[in-house]
Amino acid sequence: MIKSLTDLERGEKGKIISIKGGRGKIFRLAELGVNPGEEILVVQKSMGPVIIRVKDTNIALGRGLAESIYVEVEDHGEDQN
Amino acid sequence: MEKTKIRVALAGNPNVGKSTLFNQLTGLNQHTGNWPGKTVEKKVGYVEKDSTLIEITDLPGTYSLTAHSIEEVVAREFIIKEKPDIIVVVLDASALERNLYLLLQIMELSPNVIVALNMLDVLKEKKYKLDTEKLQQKLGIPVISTIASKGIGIDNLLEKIIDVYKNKNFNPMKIEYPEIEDTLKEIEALLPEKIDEYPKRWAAIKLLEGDPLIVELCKKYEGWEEIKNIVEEKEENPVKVASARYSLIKNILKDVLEKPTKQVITWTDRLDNILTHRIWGLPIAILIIFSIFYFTYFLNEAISIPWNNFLGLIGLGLNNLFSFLPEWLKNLLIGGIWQGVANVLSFTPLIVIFFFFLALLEDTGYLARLAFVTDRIMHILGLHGKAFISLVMSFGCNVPGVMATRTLENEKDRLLLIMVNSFIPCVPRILVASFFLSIFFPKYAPILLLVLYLISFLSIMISGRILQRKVLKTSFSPLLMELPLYKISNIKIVSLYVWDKLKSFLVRAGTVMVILSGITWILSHIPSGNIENSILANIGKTLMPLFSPLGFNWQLTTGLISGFVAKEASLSTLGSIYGASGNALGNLLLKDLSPITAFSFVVFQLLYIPCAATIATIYKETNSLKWTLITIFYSLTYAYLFTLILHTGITLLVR
Repeated sequence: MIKSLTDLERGEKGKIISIKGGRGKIFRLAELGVNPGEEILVVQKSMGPVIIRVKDTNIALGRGLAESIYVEVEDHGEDQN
Repeated sequence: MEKTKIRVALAGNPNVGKSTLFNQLTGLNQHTGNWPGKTVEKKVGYVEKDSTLIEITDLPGTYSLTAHSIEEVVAREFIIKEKPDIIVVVLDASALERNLYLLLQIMELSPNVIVALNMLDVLKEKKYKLDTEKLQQKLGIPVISTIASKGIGIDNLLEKIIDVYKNKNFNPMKIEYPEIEDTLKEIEALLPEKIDEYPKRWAAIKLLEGDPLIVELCKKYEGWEEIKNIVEEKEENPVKVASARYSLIKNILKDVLEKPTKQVITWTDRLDNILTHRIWGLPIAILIIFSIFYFTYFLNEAISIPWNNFLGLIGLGLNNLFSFLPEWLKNLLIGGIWQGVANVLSFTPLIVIFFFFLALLEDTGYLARLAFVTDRIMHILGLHGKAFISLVMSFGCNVPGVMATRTLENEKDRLLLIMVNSFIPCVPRILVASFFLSIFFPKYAPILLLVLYLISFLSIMISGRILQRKVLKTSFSPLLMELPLYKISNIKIVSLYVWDKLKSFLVRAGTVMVILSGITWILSHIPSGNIENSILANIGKTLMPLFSPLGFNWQLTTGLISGFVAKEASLSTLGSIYGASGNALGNLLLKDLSPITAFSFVVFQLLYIPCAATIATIYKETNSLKWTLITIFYSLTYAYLFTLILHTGITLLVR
């Protein structure tokens, strides 16, 4: 199932499918390892920004940025917490 | 015998212990300045080893060498144009994948690279297994293990620097990206042999990444149209470069790094569970900030009374020392210039304490969490979480607030934050406000004080929008930052940081204050020695028509002029004009001014212009006269219009 990053729960894992936005923004994220194909883990969620773990680093993303990242989640992975 | 000098550049991602390593290498033998024409800090330090002088330049911490930020441009220009003999790249061993991204780019630029593999203790905590020997083999460059915080590996690193300098004989890995190699060849074929000082292959990669500086540079070449077609053919070209780098990294790390199947929960994870918690994160942050304010207040009280007494004694001593001078000259020196210096010095304890806490927050890693948990609130003001600490510090004094804007990467974000910073009422402004409020509205003073803070937030909101749309023509970039690992703060680093900031504050604010206090003293004493018909008062009287719509008389206007030098000086000037201070001054003002005028004055002095020391800081931080003047002009205009509307509005309402 494909969801926006902000729809993932804390502790949920997923694989980045696509990122919406301009070239510069997407390249910047890609350089930090936030790139389609990459596995990410949602470390923390808030009403605003989100923290994800990617390539052994925790990265905080502003809400708008997180909303523009689409992630594929395994369907059966949701009931575990 | 002539000493050999080796020029070393220290590179690495942010938060990998690079500054710690730099300080361990050079100790106090370093100096800080700015990169020429840039607002990025430049640190150069020296160390001697085996009759060799090693000069180490600490490059700004970056994740890449693209033109995303000034830091990245500064780092790569130094490597390409200054051609350091050796580049030491500091890597966080516990996040090698991302760290190798920068290393590869540096290896593309220079063969003489040494890796300082740092944070091996974290690697151990995470139960990762790293084959350092194999990594060294694959990269073809020396890899030295260090624990910078404990000073381990420093000697090995220095020896290796000298060794590589003498025998440049190793064989660095050839960096090739199968996925994009064909496209790169095509671009290379179209480029001339020499592209300024940039290596051809490197320029080709940058073109594919869409690097604006290199694109601009290559536009003049004959083959540009064709290059442009190749580069722009596919929208995803820049990302392809990043992916190609990461797949090369994956290859390098294959059978070098082994991760456990189940990730270990580290100390940082545990702390973050609480400190960035969606419910508890913010209350904890507020608690921490309040404690900092409380301690700052408490420490400042404890220190500032003896400190100010001491400054008073020096004043007296100087008075005696210069008793041979003519009276007027002595008064100028003591009452004018020394008073200005003493003013700056009396703020010093506050600044030191503030910077101490800022350094502590940054060094422990909590600062990034603070940005995370406050991000949402800051959005209401049109800013993001990283702006929070700067605004908080401004409540004490705008100078450290403006200096703290350095934590923002984007230059325009920084400018905006600097400009709105001056709407945060610092302690001296609140002192002036409290004096007026307690005289004119004794019953409602606390509520009105709260109203003032609301006015200041409102002004940040309004100005943030206006400046973003009309002046900077950009919106604040979204929050995107790494959350570094927590660590126990190193007192050496914290002290160095505080000392650095203090030095630059004293020099800058000191100079400005000496000059301006001198000038104000002269203006308020000539021609007759009586302030009422002095030049200063005459300027006030001349400007008065401009301020009469706000209800101000010439006395208030004159007070505002000296309030520019230091906010609290407006009170002392009013005191000398009315020939009274404290309650007596209050009673005279009560007779002279209407409550509406008094309130308008309080609001105006809250908003109207950053004080001289802040302006000097703004100039230093923006490195631009234009932006300094725009800040002054904007805050003056805004304060005038805001107060005018307020004054007219209340007057109409009351009538």
